[in-house]
This record gives sequence, structure tokens and C-alpha cells, in this order.
Amino acid sequence: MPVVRLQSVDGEVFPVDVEIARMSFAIRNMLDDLGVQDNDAEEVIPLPNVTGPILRKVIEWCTHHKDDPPPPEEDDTREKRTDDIPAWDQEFLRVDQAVLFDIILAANYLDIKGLLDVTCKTVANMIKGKTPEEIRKLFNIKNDFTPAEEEQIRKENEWCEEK
Amino acid sequence: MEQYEVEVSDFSVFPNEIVMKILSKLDTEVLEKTCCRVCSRWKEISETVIHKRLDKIRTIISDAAWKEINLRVPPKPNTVDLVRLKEFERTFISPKLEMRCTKIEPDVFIRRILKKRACDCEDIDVCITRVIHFMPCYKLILVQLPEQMYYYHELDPFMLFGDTEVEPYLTEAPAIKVDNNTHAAVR
Repeated sequence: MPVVRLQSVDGEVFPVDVEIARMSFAIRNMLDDLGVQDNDAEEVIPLPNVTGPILRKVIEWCTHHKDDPPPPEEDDTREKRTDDIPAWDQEFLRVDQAVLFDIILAANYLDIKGLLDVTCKTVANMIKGKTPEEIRKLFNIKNDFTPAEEEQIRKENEWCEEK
Repeated sequence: MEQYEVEVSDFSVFPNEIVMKILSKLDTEVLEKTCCRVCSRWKEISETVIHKRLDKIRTIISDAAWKEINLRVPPKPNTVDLVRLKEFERTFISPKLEMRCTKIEPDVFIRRILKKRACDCEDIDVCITRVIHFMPCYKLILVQLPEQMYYYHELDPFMLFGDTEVEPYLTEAPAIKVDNNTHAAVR
């Protein structure tokens, strides 16, 4: 099996099957731009936005999902269902929040739609059932509303609170 | 004193496109009631997601009913569609119902509803506003197709109405699915 070598920002090099590496559309484009064919892929691909530990996780996910069918085309209003995360992915994403966020950033940078989708669903599940204050605390978000704006939002939503 | 490096997972690391991807996974109700109140950035992105959904959902109601709807339901006219969108999600998206539906002619449906509510409203169009309020509890939905509007439900219509008078007006619905991704009715 031809192999491509992926280099993380901290210099770690990961030999990866080309077939698996090409699950990343960013890497696929780089390989195509370099004119690298499947049978001569000993290239080192630098990935300046991904650290070694995160790249290892990404490769692990891609390896597990290498036989998955291609994800559907992107759509702004994609299905909101978030309770369909496979058990393996749930366990795989049972990581610190910071690591989860880094995986999301890496999936976005490397353009791996399936991984980005499942990680976004995981974060969406963390949001569900929480109050705005709990969400701010969980994600370290500053409440930048003025008291007047908060009052305005409260009034806007007053009618739906009664339901 | 030893100092430890604390890893902070801050949402600000995400560009707007990722925040939008995450928030797009949530129901409109969560976006509106919760996410819009987190911070101004989340409010803006949540509203964008909601507006995109509103653009996708296609329901109609007569012009005559708009005034009453605006008075009855939301504090501002633009939220009328939002009410419908949320009802749509509650009814069909969230419970993940199969759309094996039966079409009921609108006039029959409305007459049944009027009877059930003992409504004395003479203007049937205005009464559609009340029909809308029945949608969540009866798992009903208005679907706008190119040629006309249909009412659908996923329950046995006889169980729903308890009246054989409805029978002659029932027809098998055409093969229609509501696309969870686009919120649109598709054949």
C-alpha cells in the first residue's frame, strides 16, 4: 500500500496509507497539486496547523472510517439530528474539551467532512439542555450583552416562554 | 508556588463557519431560547441559521389571516414564520416521524376542527389560524406544494376525527417526503 508522510507542526512525522490520507480533501488537493500518484507517494506533507497528538487522533478516526461511503454534499440546513453518533465515535470523542475543539479545527483545516460533522454534533449535544449561563461557563464565553440588550432579548422571547 | 498551565477550551478559537456548523445541529427552539442569549456573536449566528431555515420552509396562509395571527401569536410579525418552523420541527423533525400520511381536503379538515373547537368563527380563513395551533397536538402539518396546500398527519384520521363523514374526502397522499435537510416537501 503506498504511503504518504504527514508532518505535524511540532515535527512529528506519521506514515499514512495514501488511501486514508486522501480522506482529507486538503491533503488530496496537495497530493494532486504535487502530481503525486498513489504508487510513488513517499512525499512529506507538512501540516502547519495540526499538532502531533491531534494528527494522531485524526489519522485514527480516518483509519477506522476508511471504508465509509462518502458523506453527502454540504448543505447549510443539514439534518439537525445529533443522536446518531456511532458508538465507536462517541468513545473516540470522549476527550477533554480542548482536545475536542482541536480535532474540530483540524477536521475543518484538513477538510474531513465526516469528522467535522460528528465533532460538531458532539458539541451540539453538549449545548442541549443547558441554560445560556451554563453554556457561557462551559465554553468560556463572555456575556457581551448590555443590560438593555438582555432585557430586549428577554422581551422578544417572552411569548415563547409561556409555551 | 508551582504554576500549572491550564488548557482553556475557548469557543473563540472557532471561526464563524464552525460555530454555524455546530449551531445548525440544534433545533430552532434551542437556538431561539438559549443560543441567542449566550452572547452577541451566537445571537447573530443563531439568527442566520433560523433565517436560512425559514427560507426553506414553505407554508401558506391567506392574507386575511395575517392580521389575526400577528395579533395572537408573536410580538412581531416576522416571528409568525418562526412559530410555524418550530411547530414543524416539533411535529416532524424531532420525533423523527415517518411521513406515511393521508391527505385530508382542507375544507373538510377545517370544518372538523371548527366542530371540535365549537368555533363560531364565520370566516374560515381566519380559522386557519386556529388550525395552526392544533398542529403540534395533532401532529399535523401544512405542506405547500407547487400546486396547492395539503394538510398531512401521521395518525389514523378516523381515530383523529372519530367521524366517518370524513371518509369520502380522504385520499392517499402522493409520495411526498419532507426533507429533513431542507425542510422542504419533495416528491
